[in-house]
Amino acid sequence: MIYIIDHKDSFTHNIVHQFAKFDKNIECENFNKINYSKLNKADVILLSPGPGSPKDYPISSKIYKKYKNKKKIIGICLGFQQILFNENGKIIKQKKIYHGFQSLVKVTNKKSLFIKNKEFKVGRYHSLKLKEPFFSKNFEITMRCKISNVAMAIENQIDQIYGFQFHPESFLTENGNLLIKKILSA
Amino acid sequence: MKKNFYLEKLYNSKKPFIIYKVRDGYDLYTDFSEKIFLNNKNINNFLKKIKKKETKNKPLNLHIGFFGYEILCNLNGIKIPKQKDLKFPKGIFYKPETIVQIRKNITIKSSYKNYKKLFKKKYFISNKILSPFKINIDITKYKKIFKKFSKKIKEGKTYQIKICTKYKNKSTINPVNFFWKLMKTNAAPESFMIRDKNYSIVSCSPETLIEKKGNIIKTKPIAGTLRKTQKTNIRNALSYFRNNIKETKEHNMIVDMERSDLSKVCKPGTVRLSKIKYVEEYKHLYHYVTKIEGVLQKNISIKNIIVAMMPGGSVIGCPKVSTLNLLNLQEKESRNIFTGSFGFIKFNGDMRFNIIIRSILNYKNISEISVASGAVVDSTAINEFKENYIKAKSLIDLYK
Repeated sequence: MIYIIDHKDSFTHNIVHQFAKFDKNIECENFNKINYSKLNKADVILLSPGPGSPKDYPISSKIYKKYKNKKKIIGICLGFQQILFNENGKIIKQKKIYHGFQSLVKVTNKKSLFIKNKEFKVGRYHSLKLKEPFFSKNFEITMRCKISNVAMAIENQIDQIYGFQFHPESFLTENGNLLIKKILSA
Repeated sequence: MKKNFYLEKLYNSKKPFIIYKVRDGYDLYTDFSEKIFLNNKNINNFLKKIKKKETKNKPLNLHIGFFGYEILCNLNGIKIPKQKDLKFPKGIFYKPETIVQIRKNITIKSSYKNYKKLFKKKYFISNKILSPFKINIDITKYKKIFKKFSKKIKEGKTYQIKICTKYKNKSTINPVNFFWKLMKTNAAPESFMIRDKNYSIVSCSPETLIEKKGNIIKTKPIAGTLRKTQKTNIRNALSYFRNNIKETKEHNMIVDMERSDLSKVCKPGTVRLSKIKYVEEYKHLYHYVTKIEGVLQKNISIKNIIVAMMPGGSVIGCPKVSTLNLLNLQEKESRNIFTGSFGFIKFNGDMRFNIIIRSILNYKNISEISVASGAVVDSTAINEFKENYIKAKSLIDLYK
């Protein structure tokens, strides 16, 4: 079962439908209305996109810390930043803001599940980004924006934690389903 | 249009009626046997009991009316702080007993045999302007709000937010006269008018929010408007939208948001873009439009659909809930009908709803016209303020 924690975003149900392609059993609840018995039974926890920054959502941070290393965790956009934030990363404002922006992303790390140097178009909705340099045990930055070099994906194969700054579920993202399929079967 | 004796009589009476644009003409509804005032308490019951046994007179098996902005926020669990308001109803739905189908020819269907005689005295209301139009937010105030919201965008609290301004005057209007004048210049696909005893609404809304037939649901968000000039045509309008980064980003955002709203009530895998980023041409402008549709899940109620889709995202901003909260904290005056929805729900559960924009509400001898345009990162306060005026202008011109 996949448990989606919704940070009251307007894209969350696109994610629900995208993940439903690979797992029929999906629960989606607002971050302030978590059903902990269901959450406990989940194989995968997904932290959704949403407004604001990771520090605005202490409940989601708690859940991340509790289930790290016990369940597969996936973060998208705000969810991606929440993972980094809880791994002592700093989330900062960026000068150029990307809302509804399609840009080219490149796989930059050979430890990625995806083929190094592969490039594809993605949809982005974020005004904040990861401050670099960023180091955390077992975490690799695996994709970057081709133009600005901003971190676009992280992977931690050992603890099974994956995050995308862009939106795999957006109609602007090429091969979004393939990305999700691969990390769900990893 | 041909003169019709029945219509002339109706227009010159006090009898309430509603006109709604359809593809090849207009449907006029009248002889209302029920009039339901909605409030936060009775709305659930209203939506639950709306599916009824059909009668023989098929085009009359429906309730037609509107949801105001506030009641839609409430359905979504969003409370609005106290605002100045006219005490205008939060929503009204009517059950018509007579329909006049205005096409090349006029067809009248009624549940009443004597519908032609159901008129009282002659009555005519003339257009009178008692005070000039005033805007509720001037450019200085607007710039301040704009700056505040731009900061919220940089902090990621909202990705796009539509600032609403309101033009008001004291006036009495003849809505029939206004509506047909407006339809000559701008017969937008979701146009409608309501004339009731103590209020009227005249609208040339272009935007369809919900079209539900059986288990298929469609929406058609508009994001992007270009004024027509002698140099523009549909082809260069398309390349204008495609090359304009601001318009493209706004449009993309609305498409993903509407996909997500539909996904709340549709079967996984069925939501698709049936026509993507194309241009619709109107008499004075071009719109950048995408059509999205899906197949409804089983056991989805009418309320589920209304809550998932309303208020329509394209006129609010994104993400919807946090943006609504920002707007509600900012706005000192009730939106009334603006960014609510007008349309009908049939007894079999089918429905059609628009988004109430480009509309005049006349109530207690006050006319109000609300408009909104988007603050996104690339927009400037002055341009958006002007865009608001352009949107209101064709309606304000009716008073001349």
